[in-house]
Parts: sequence; structure tokens; C-alpha cells
Amino acid sequence: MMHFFKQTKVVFLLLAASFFIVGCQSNPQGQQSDVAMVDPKSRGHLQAQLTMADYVALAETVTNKMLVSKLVQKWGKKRPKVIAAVPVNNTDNENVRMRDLHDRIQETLFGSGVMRVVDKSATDFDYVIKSELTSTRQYGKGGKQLVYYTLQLKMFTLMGELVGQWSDDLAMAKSQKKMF
Amino acid sequence: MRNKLILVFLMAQVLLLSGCQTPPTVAEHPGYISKSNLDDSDPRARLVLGSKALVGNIRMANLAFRKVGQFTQAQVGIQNLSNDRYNIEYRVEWEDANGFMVDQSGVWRRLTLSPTQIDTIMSTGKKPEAEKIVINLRLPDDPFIINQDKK
Repeated sequence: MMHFFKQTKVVFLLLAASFFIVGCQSNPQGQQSDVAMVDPKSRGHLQAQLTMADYVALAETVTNKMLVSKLVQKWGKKRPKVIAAVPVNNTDNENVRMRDLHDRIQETLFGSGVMRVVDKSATDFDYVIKSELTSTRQYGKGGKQLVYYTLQLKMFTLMGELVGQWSDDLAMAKSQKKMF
Repeated sequence: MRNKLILVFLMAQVLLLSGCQTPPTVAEHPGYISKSNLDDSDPRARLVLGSKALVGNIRMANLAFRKVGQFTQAQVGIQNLSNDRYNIEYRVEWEDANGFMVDQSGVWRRLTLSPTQIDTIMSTGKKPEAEKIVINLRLPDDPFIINQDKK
């Protein structure tokens, strides 16, 4: 009986000591890390996936190409009515925020002032802009990845004739995982 | 009488001298202090080098502007004067004729310059009033890469 009490006392003392040591740690595991504000226009990536800044970059480049095209230049001050359809996601990632990409494209088109942007439910319009996002991904040893994203913008008339097509590419490389 | 004549003569001289003065040159970018990392030699373009390592090694050249429909398109050559390979990023902003920012939608884009290479940046001001271009250049700034040289 005495032996049992002695063992229990030792276990209790060890437990108390371990709690004391953990309590004294200046930086215990599980503590929240600091959060910093970053430049929203910077292109930092944690994964080989698109960020909001990438959506802006892709949308900006393709719409730039479209706005300086001969087709749009010919419009002059006519300001035709255009429907900007939500882009089709043909990438290997279903979680790409296509609505955000669409909003960025639409914002640039609207801000340019060269066209009137109408809703997809409109019955009176001149052109439809359809867009598509595609990707190719290669995997290497140790978690290495090489990803290419392409955004294509296609403009069709009411009769379904393709009158313009513009695209932009974005490439990302993920390095090998580090052991330590 | 003689004093009056001298006074009139002096006043005439003052008026004559002030009339001969060339009108003060209007600074193209008033308010900016000239620094080695700021190139405002062109009245329609301003290059800002955001990293010390780029000063003296990267410059802009062969600027060209053209009207594309209602918009202005700019083409700027970026020249690497050094024998180093540079991985840099740039961001373009547009100002109107009065210096007001009218298009700040651009994000940072990557550009690789081999030794002594000249590459070209093209940008379109997506507002009809966009007139002047501001190019910001820096070494890539990534919040998750802490060991790179950001000087």
C-alpha cells in the first residue's frame, strides 16, 4: 500500500513539473502568429494557385489587348452594348473564383467607357464577350510544380460570328520541398 | 531735377532688366526632389527605381506614345546597363495632363533582363484622359521570401 502511494506521488510530481515547464515557455507551441498588411498589388503566392492580383493581371492584359484592337478602335464613340459572360473554368482546379475574374474583366471594360455593359438577361445587345480560363500543370520530384494559366477572351456578334480573340498567359513554378 | 532723372533712369533700367529675364522654366514634375532613383527626364514619363541595387544599372530609353482610339498607349524600353541578370518587377500607373492619377489598377509584373538586354514594356491608359506614365521598378518583393536582397 505504501509502495502504491509512493508511486502515485512520483507520477503527480512529474506531471506537476511538466505543467510548470510548459507554463514557463516564453513561446509555447500553438501561439498565434503575427499578421502583417501587404501590398494588394504584390504577387506573393503560398501555393501554385491564382491569387486576386493574378486575376487582375490576367484581366487587365486581355482587356488591354481588346481595347486597342482595330475592332474596338472602329467603334469610335458609338459605345455598343456588350454582354460580358462569366468565364468558363477549364483549369484543373474547381476552386478558382471565376466570379471575381469576371468582375475584374467587367470593371475594366466598363471603366474604359468605350462600350455599354449590359446584363446577360438583356435582349438588346450588339456583342457577347465569352472568356475561358485553362491550365496545364506538371509535377516534378519533391513537390516541384510548373503551372501555366491562360485566359482567353472571345467576342461574338449577335449572329454568333467570332470577331475578335485575345489571350494572356501566366506561369508559376513551385520549388522542391525542403526537409529542414 | 537731376535726382529725378537718375530715378527715372534707374526705374527704366529695372523695367528693362526684368523684361529681358527669361520666363522661369516650369518644372515638368513640380514638387519632386531630384534623386538618383528617379528619372523624370521625359515630360510624359517618370521612372522610379524602388531598389538601391537597380540605381545606375537600369534605365528607361526609347519612349514612344501613340493614340489608339480614345486611349494612349506607351512603349518604354528598359535597358540593363550591367553584366548581371536581373529579375525585376514593374508596375505602371497613368496620370492625366495635370498630374492626377487616373489609372492605378496595374499590379506588379515580372520581367527578366539578361546582361545588357533591352526589353520593352507596353501599357495602355484605360481612361481617355490618361496622358503621362509612371513606371515603378523594384527587385521582387514577396512577403514569404525573407532572405532575398531587397536593397
